[in-house]
Amino acid sequence: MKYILQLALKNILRSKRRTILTFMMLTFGVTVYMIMSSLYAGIDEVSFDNLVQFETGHVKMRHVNFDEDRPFSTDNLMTQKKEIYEKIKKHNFVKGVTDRINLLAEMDNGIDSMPVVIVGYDQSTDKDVFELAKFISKGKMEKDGAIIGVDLAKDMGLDIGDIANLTFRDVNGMYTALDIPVTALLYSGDPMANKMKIFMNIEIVQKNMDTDAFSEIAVKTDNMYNANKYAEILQKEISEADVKSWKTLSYEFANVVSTKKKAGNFILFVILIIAMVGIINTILISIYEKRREIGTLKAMGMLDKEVRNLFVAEGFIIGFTGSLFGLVFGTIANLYFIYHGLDFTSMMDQMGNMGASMVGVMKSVWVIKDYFVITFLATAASIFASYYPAKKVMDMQPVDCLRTVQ
Amino acid sequence: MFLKFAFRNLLRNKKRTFTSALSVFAAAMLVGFGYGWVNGVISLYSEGFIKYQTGNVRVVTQGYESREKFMPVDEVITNADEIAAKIRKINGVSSVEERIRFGILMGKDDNTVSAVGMGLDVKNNSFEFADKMIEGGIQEHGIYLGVRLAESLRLKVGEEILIASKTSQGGLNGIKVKVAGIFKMKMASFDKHFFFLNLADAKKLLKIQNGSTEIYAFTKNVEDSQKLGEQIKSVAGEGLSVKTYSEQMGGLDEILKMMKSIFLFIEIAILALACFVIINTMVMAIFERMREIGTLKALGFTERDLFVIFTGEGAMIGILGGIPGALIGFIGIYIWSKTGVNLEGMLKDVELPIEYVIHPMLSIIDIFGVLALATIVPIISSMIPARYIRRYLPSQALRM
Amino acid sequence: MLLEVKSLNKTYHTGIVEFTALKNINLSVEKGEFTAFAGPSGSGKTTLLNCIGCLDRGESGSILLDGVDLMTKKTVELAHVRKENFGFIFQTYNLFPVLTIAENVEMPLKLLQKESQEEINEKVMKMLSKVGLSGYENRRPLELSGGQQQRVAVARALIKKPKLILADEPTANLDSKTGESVVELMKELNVNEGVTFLFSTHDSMVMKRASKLYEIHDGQIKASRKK
Ligand SMILES: Nc1ncnc2c1ncn2[C@@H]1O[C@H](COP(=O)(O)OP(=O)(O)O)[C@@H](O)[C@H]1O
Ligand SMILES: [Mg+2]
Repeated sequence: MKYILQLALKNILRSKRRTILTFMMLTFGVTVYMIMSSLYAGIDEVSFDNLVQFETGHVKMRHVNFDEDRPFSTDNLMTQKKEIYEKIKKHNFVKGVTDRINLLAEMDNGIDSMPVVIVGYDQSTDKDVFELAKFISKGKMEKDGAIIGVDLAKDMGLDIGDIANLTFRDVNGMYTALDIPVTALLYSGDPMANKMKIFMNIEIVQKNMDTDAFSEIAVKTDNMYNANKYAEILQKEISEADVKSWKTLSYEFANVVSTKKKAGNFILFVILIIAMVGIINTILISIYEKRREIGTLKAMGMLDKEVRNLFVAEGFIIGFTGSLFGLVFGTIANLYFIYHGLDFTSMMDQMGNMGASMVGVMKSVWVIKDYFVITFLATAASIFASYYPAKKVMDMQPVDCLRTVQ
Repeated sequence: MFLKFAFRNLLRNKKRTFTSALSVFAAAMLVGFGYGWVNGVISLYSEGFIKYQTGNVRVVTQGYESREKFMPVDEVITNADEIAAKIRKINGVSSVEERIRFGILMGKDDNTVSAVGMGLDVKNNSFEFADKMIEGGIQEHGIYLGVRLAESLRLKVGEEILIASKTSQGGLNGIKVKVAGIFKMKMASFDKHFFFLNLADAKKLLKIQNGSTEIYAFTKNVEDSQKLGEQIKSVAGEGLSVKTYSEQMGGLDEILKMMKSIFLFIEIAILALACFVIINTMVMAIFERMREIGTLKALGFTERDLFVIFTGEGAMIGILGGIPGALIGFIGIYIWSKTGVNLEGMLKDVELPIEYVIHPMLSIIDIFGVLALATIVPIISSMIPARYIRRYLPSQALRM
Repeated sequence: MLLEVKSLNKTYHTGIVEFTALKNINLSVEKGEFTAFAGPSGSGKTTLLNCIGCLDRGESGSILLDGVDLMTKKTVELAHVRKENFGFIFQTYNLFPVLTIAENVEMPLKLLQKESQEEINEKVMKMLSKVGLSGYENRRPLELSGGQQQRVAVARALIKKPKLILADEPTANLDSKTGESVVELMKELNVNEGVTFLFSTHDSMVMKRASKLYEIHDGQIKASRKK
């Protein structure tokens, strides 16, 4: 076997240019795949984090009749805060509970008006679940002030210290006006929030709405990856609410992620095919050029299987070293994407809402699994690819190989 | 004579030729299908934009344009009817519409939604919502709601609702209107947020005495948009902004065009991948026949002659598989475009001017595009292995 | 003087090993001669014929055809030289299995593109009858015996009336009787039509027919004889 590997290596080194070409194809493919895979992983991680820290919490509860198509219905506001809180808090895995109220309002600056979403948050408990402070780009959270999305502020010509004029319907259906000073600007990963959200003390909102009800309760647990299980436990006990984990809530977003995964797999597939075709080509040519030598080897008594192995070994060496090189290049390239990242801010401004929470700067993360997957797949594909032409040699008659000797 | 030679050689190893042609066939089918789909949908998409959003050319005041996202009602073109009449006389114009758009909060009982109202000629407009009514019908007065907006507000035909809006003079005004009809346009942006009412009612609500805020002009041919834009500029007065659909779409039109080229690139890549098989086949053929190549060289064939022969051989495989493949793929998409593809699940919440049921728009140019791809890519691929012909001296080739 | 070879050398480089296959070859061929290279296997006959026929490149020296040096020509020019001046006959016939006999024979004329198809057809029929293969036009090479195939090769080499026909051991793959008939055919054509032949052989029976004989040993001309 060792002898065969040595022979194969000599064969590879004999036609350097062709080997290098195949090699480069493989290396390039592996590098591209690594970069993409790490970038996707990075996007997932950051986006989900943002979503959980800003919008969903680990588990979210809403009125049992909550309807995605009528999110601001005042009939679907929740009451019985005390009872529900008690039921939640008795669990050890619960690390924080808070409630929020959402409503649709119109913001007016004297000339123009725009629809906005008011989010009333509990100033004492919100930080137990969410990390609103992390998304404040300018100013401070104040008791009587509003935090307003950066793009909304720009559109309406507002800055910190200005008064925002809001009109909305209270629970009785009466139009109410509210003037509130802007004390902070919000810059989140969700462009829709930047464009239409305004956060303020839930007490102010409830007073103006003429209610003490709220839209949702959000819970933080000891482990966000157990959220599905926790949601189930809570749902059993709390019949007055519809309990959902962040995973279920971000279902659509998760769909986008899985589509991206599919795209990634497709690219891997294409890369493998290209590499395989390249290797088949290299080995085929190598075989046709060496027909006479093969005939001679066979004439000397080398077994057909050994001749085949000779060429499979050639494929193996190309595939294995090619993927190693790719991993090295991919790692080097990833250093840039992981520590520097890609800045999409300006592009996102142009495209607007992409339908999911996204951040402006994307950073990759290391995906250790890739190293094993790539080495294994690239090598396996190479062996597989060289098997076909090698089999051709195996089936050739020695006389056919030697036929042309003059 | 060269081609005959190449053709005979093809028949020499029928199985190999067949498999190679088959793989090109499969890829070309995929490409024909993909090309038809992408181009068809992008055309549909552009058309949707013109029909439902931008018109071929739109006239607004310059102030309106700069505050467009607020849909201002105080930026009125006071002589809109005169301008519209002038535009109507221009050659190639199929219709001209005066419209007023305004954004309001609509509340009923427990629920509040944000909606866009549009005042227009309810009988003749590019939305053709009168034909897409699922309940009620066109009446003298009243509003027409998108089906999901109606559901969200729990409104039925015949019921009344108070709509309140900022007026052109700055104050608030509210009127009670009856729901005259509910339409389903199969587009999220309209079904979820839009209601229509006739222009006179809108003017009353918004306290606009003369004119309207927007004029939309439609042409018979998309290509005429640019020209029409210039003609309108000369009849419209000072202080107005006249923009074609492509100017209004801004970067988006560019992105669509870019998408077309990206997909073209992908399609070429897929075909090229399939043509790798041709390369393999031809490499084998060349090495198998190296002694024949040597003999041909001895007979005085130049390397260029041999290049033509072998490229021809490979190209024949590619074209034999490619053309029928591309055609079948394209026919597939053609059938699809007739029956329509229902993407309601995917597009339900996407606010684009495109119907859930997609009928890709295909043109003759697209067919030629696909066929050109299926011809050129195999030819280029076949040139690659033919270079092995040059590699050896005739004496070397003869020994192989 | 049709062909003149002056101090031709040829070395094969295979990796680190160098092998000098031809050393200081000098020879000449007159129009209408029937010249043979004789020598044991591995002496350099094929190499020399390949160099003369522009199938391979010599290393130094000159090969003059009608006084024009072929050694200095470019690869493309050499293809034209072969097309216009040489006919080849190979030990292994090298006919094209996908083409009929007639198509094989007409190929050199098609390449020259000088005559119409009718003229070509007429010539092919004449040529085939000359080599005794009338009625075989539409057969394929693999349906023919070795001797018949070599006759087709002779016909193909001769059809364009080249200045010189180069034949590398044309009889080596044939039994002695068939080989003799092929040489007979070549000689006939030489005598009757004045075609110039230059061929290699290690068959003494064939050597006897030659009008001029060069004996080659280890890449050198050891002796030359003229009858
Ligand atoms: N391509 C080659 N590479 C290396 N050596 C060669 C090559 N072709 C021929 N030779 C050597 O040159 C010598 C002459 O060969 P050749 O001309 O084929 O002899 P002949 O035709 O007289 O049998 C032989 O010893 C052979 O080993
Ligand atoms: Mg020889």
